[in-house]
Amino acid sequence: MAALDFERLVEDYYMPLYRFALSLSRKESDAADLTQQTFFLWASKGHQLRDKSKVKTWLFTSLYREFLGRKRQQDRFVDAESTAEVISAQAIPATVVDQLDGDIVQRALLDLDEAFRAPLTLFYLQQHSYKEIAEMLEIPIGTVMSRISRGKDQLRKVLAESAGLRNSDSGGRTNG
Amino acid sequence: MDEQQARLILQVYRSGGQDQNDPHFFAALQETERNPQLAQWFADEQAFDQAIADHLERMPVPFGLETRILANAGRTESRASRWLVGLATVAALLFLCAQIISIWRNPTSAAGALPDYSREMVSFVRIPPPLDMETNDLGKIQGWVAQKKRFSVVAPPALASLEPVGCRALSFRGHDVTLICFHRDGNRLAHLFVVDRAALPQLKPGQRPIFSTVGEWTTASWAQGGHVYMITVQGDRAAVQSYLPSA
Repeated sequence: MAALDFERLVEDYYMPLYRFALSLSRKESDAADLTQQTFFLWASKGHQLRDKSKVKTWLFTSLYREFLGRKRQQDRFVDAESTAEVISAQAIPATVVDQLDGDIVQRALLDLDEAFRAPLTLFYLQQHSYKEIAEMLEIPIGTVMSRISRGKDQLRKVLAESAGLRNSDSGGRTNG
Repeated sequence: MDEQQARLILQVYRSGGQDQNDPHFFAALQETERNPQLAQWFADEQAFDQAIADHLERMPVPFGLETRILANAGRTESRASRWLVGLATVAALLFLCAQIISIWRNPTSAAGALPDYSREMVSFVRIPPPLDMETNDLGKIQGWVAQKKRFSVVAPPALASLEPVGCRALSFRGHDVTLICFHRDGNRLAHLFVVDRAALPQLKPGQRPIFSTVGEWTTASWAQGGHVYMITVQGDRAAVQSYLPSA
């Protein structure tokens, strides 16, 4: 890829990739490192990708695989799908979320169970459809839908607590 | 399709409207037109999703990350584009020749690389970087530099009186850069960068230090022997001036 194209690619995607990496690693230094490594991989292997319309998916997939590779070296991966706490979601109005401090929302996203963090962050980055998220994370579409749904429930609960809302105040909420 | 099924499907419908042409959602969206309760739920869900997406969009990204990516990964060009790189190299050489002629004709206009150098080095230390060697012994650091880089780094006395943290090797446009970090007041650091003078030929020994500001950071650069030294601190000109050789 020509230098100019590479610069454009970095400019277009380094921020969403960093935010995705931060949701995975939960450490700014690791997220920056993962983002750099992803572009390094693109610079050295990107030419192997024949369908250039898949560049975005390739970058996010490569970052996710890099994260998993590093994580496997650190500890055994635990599939939180089966261990995640079942949470009763709470109603938290969007206006309340709007007014919450950015750090609180960021912390709430980073505190989600690992199984929910990746699909939910990709969903909220709004760059990928649920089908693409399934492809990137190499999990079935139904699992993506389920994890996004349950991740939202968990996020609502954390945000409701941060906003000082309680079950009795909100009347509870079900999301199917 | 019942309401529960519609909710499950619509939960992954992006609030930015990117999925409006995806047939997977058509039936569920039609259901919202028939079911006011579902429509209200969907409106709330979309507002919540958009609020979170907006927060995520505002999540800060480390300053200088883009520069680091371009500096590190940009050097590894793909095999398929090497001929393009070759052309770019020829163009760069021509540009370099033009620059050299320009510098020769008008030496005062040759300060181009220094601002880039200042910005890039500041962006590197804004987030304390991992160091190649961590020690509070300046002698060990000087020994490391002498062994690895084959020159004797001379820290200004005011800086040398601080407790060192460690050092690291960097690169700027193909030139080796040595970074030495020192503890200063509080938890803040002072950074000394040393690069071969060929990287910044416009700086001549004996000239007064050149100051520059990069956000909240101030740098002071001067030539000494065959190298250019640069001190960088988070603070104003007075903060950096106190560490200069003449201070």
